[in-house]
Amino acid sequence: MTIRKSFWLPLTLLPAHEILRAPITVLLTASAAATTLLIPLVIAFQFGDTGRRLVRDGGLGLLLTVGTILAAASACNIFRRERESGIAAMLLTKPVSRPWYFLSRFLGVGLIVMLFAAVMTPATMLAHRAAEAYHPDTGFKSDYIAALSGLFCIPLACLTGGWWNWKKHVAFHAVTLLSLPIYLWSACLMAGWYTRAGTFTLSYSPDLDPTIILATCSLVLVLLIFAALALALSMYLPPVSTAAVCLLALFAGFSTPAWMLNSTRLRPIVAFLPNWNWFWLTETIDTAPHLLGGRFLLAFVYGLLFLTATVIWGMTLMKRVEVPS
Amino acid sequence: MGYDVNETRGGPFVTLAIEAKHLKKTFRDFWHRPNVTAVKDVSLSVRRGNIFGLLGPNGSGKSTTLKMLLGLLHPTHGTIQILGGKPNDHSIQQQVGYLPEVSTMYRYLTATETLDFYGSLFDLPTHSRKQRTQALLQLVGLSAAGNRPVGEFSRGMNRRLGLAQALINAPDLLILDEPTAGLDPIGCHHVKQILRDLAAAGKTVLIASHLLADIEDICHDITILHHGSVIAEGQIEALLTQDQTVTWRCKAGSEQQREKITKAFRNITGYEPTVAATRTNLESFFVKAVLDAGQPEQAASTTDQAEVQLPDFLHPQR
Repeated sequence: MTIRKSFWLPLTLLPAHEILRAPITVLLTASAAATTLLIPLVIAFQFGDTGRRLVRDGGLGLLLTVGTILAAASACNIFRRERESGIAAMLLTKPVSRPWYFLSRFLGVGLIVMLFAAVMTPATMLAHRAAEAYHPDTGFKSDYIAALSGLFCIPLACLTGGWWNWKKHVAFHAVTLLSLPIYLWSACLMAGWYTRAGTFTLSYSPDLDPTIILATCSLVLVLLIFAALALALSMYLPPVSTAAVCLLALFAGFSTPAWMLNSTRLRPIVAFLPNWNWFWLTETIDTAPHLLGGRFLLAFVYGLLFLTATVIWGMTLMKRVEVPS
Repeated sequence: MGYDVNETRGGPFVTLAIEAKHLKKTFRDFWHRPNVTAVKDVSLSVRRGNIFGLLGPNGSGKSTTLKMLLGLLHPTHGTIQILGGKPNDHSIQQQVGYLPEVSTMYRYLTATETLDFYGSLFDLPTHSRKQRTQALLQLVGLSAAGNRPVGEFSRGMNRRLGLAQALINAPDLLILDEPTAGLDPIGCHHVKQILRDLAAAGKTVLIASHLLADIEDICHDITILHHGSVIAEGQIEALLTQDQTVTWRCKAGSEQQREKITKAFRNITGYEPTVAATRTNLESFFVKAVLDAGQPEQAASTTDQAEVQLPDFLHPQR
């Protein structure tokens, strides 16, 4: 496979740009962030410190489920769209290697997945801070300012998208989605200048949980594996079947029964199913935070292995795939 | 396969641009069972520098044959040689331009960006891409729309842009699937003129179409497909010439003169001649009428097109 630097960037960015422009992408991302930020408001005064964990796990759960839908749906549609529009035929008759064509599509979806994670991570951190928690000065109290500042970012991003569209004719959805993580991370940074009671303070203390970033990175690997899996399957299966297989893989990877794991005969088959529990680090954050680094490293290596295998499988399939329409 | 003494691009000049033998394509269903045989037995020989027409009704296997020639589909049976090599060989793909039947580009890119992107796939340097992009936009009559997003283009404009992207690498072989579909008569006329100029510049053009008038106007050789098999092939002049009939053309003259000539003809040959006024075809009449109308705003691109010459980079000898 030959990779020429002159076209790898445009070839990669084009599918990312295409997904970025799809209204469903911004809708899914914004609603997932909004739901995460609304969780602490819904469960305020009911769960105490446990509520904070629920908020964090809820946010990460949304990242995983909505992210899976986003990754799988985007990946499924890329080939279908490019085949129907003739783009795939035009590209594959140029001196572009087929494995690289697959890789560039995967990297394009990967960029969108990472953008989604870049939105969900600060949203989860803000929601986690906003959730009811005990503090010696205030007792059990929810931090409404943190939640509202996060929620405020969504209409602000929409306004930015609208303004750019009006001023420079740039796509509304793309600008909204790109500005959303900037505003949310800015809200995270600004959180250091006010206390949980909502008063301004000069001593900078953001009170945000950095372990959420590690947990998110781990889940991003899962989403990338799904993107690669969906992309590879979509070359042969229609979108609905591809999505169904992805969902099946998600459930199977979470709920492989113990008897299957312990069976010597079934172990090779089970080995093909990634065990998603490896990537769910919140248990370690709560029970053994000192092991978090090691667990993350293990999950990272494990995920990278699966990801590499799936991408290579997809690239191999791409060599033989036909472009009938 | 014969070889000419001429040299081009550092290799021997292969007389045949495309040689396909006994192509067969059977599509299979999800379970790999044979589903439909779109091409049963097709052999093609396309000479260099010719415009070759692949004709046939819908579903006759034209597009499937083209896709096999381009390596987008794998033939179930048969062999293909394109410019002396295999269709998927990158050195061969460098010399081939392709316009698919449906050619919707990335909607959010402008026409200039689209051509620049396709140029980048051929590793063309930036300044060369810019020059070619401008020259091709002018050639296909899209200069004024160069900075508009492709999503706003009409079908005809999309086809023109599709043709431009197929020419960005100055291909030796151009494969076009329904190149005039969706174009207005002036667009058709213009595209046909470009294809004639390309053939004159030594390029080989293979066109699949069911628009017979277009093929008749520009093609040297044709093959007609029906239900995946070749039912007629050869040089268009030879195929269309009726050996038993000839046409004389002369000024109309008076009614009495025509009567005399007809009588003399009948006496000499013993056959009754057909006398009819000479007609132009509707396309020529339409193009002339629109150009003569001379509406400067709307016809700007049209009049430009009539005068546009092939850009230098499409002339290998320059």
